[in-house]
Amino acid sequence: MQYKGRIIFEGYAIADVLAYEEANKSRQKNLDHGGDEYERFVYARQSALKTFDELYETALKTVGEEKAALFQTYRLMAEDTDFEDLVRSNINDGQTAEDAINNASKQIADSFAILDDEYMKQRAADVIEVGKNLINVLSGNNELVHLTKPTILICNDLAASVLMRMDRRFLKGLVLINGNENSHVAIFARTLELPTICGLNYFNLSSTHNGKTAIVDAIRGRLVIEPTEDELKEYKELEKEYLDEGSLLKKYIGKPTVTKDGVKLKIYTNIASALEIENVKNNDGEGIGLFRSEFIYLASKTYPTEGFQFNYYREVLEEMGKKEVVIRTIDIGADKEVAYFNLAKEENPALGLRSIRICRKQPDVFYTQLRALYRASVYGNLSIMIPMIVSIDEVKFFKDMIKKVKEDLKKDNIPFNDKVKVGIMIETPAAAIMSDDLAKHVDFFSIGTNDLSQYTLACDRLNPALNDTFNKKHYAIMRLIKMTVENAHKAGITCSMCGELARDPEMLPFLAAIHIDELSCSCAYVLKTRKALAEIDSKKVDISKYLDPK
Amino acid sequence: MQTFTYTIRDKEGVHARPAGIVVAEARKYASTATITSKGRTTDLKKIFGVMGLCIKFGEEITINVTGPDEEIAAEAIQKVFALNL
Repeated sequence: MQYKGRIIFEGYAIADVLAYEEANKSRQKNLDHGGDEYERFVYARQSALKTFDELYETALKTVGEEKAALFQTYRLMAEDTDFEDLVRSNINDGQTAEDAINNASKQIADSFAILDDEYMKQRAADVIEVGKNLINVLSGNNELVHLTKPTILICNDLAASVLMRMDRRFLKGLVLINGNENSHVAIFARTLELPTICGLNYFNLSSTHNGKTAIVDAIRGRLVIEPTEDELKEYKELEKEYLDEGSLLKKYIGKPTVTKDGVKLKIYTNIASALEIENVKNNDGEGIGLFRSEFIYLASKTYPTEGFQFNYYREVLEEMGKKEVVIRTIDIGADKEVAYFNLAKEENPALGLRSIRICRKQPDVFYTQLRALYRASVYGNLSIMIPMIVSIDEVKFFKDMIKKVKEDLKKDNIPFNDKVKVGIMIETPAAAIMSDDLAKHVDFFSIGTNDLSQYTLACDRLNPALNDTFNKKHYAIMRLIKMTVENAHKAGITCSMCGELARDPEMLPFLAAIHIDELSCSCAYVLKTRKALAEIDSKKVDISKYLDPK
Repeated sequence: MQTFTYTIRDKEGVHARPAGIVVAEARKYASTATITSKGRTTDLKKIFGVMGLCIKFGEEITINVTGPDEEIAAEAIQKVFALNL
């Protein structure tokens, strides 16, 4: 069985599964532990402090002092007298030590959360984690996850401290079913270069998975449980190729992207979090072609504020310096649900209220994002990209909104870059067909092949039963792509491509021959694509085989 | 009493890791130390207090150190801020 997920760190892993579940946090108050609850808390704290010290020492050696400092902070939190006072008062109210600790950490976390600040909300998670560590001592769940053979660890989510205590030699891959890109464990997984995926919507953790073979495909974002022999064989080859290539590809770092016959292109990257910028740099991405801003919304419990977004975009832009960063505005809806947007359930969400359509219904939310983007624009090389366009009306709508944002910033004496490029995604057949007209109104196009294929072929791209019909290289799609690129160039604007086709080796000759300007792919594919393009003579490509059925 | 001000340069503001580092440093000294941000003052030796101030990038904070070893303490704390925040 294959399950889709999002990628935290690229690579392949093939090994046996260990399904890891955290023990139940609470238990009934009973008499079997004899001592009083406060003594049990003191014992748990003592033991957790020792663990934090050990973790600090381990982390110091493996991930460095800066990141190891987290465990020093955990120690301070566990020792804190405010925390102790809360626990004591909860115990006096008749709670077990477990509940008292759990509630005390929640009380502190909540006091941060009401500060209405996204940063602090994330920090609240640290407090909860400290509480969990203490509770684990009491529930006997404190033991190390002992790995004795190559293992893929699958869990709902994982504390960074548990990850640090595992033997990295045996830990081959990590699957965080509910985890996300911004958690501590994600940061540690990247530093440890551990193939990791997260956000598996349809996978249920069960101990029956223990010992079964699994594959973490952190290149396409898949977990394969009990692979067939063919799958296993395929993945063993893929893994070997990947590792061999990795060392060969290093020589393409710092080289320009150019075909054999001298056509210059740029290879940008698709990222979802500021934390991935290190990967962009390591893989020599020439810019960011798709920054998925929706993950800021997905990670938040309420609408992210202008200030929070401003700081976030500013960091990304500053980190990338002179290199272009294309930030895609709100792309919520369809398979990306965000509770606080209060969207009604729809029969056909992929054909429903999503992206720019939501922005038109909730213009204030869109205004906040655009204002944060323009405020951040002076800190780097920003471009803004609007998704899911089907008509000129929508273009007029966001251009009016941008005009208002600029006027307001001027009034408030806030500096912004007036020359930010604003482009649209071509990911609907309507936009591709209208691309000659649309090109007159925007600064660039970016073809989103995943949705363009889904809408052109009338295939739900998440429905595995349609895999045979869902041919992303269908002639109709190739024709739309060619038409879009030509219309962009006729109007004197650039056309790039993000989406899976942009890094498909079979597609590269065609894309080079029709003179696409940029390709944007995930970090792992930058050097591979650069190498493949260097071997293509675009003048010798027969594009008719992509366009016309024989 | 020793006083100094400092403007936070870390993009993420005073988050858990660096907060822990400054609190740990402040605790090494006998002097009391407080941190003030946006008109609110709290004990620099208490991690939840410091995190609860919700100090962001670009904000100016004021540190006050009072006690027998205030001079060396203030100097050391200032250094830790400069290195980590």
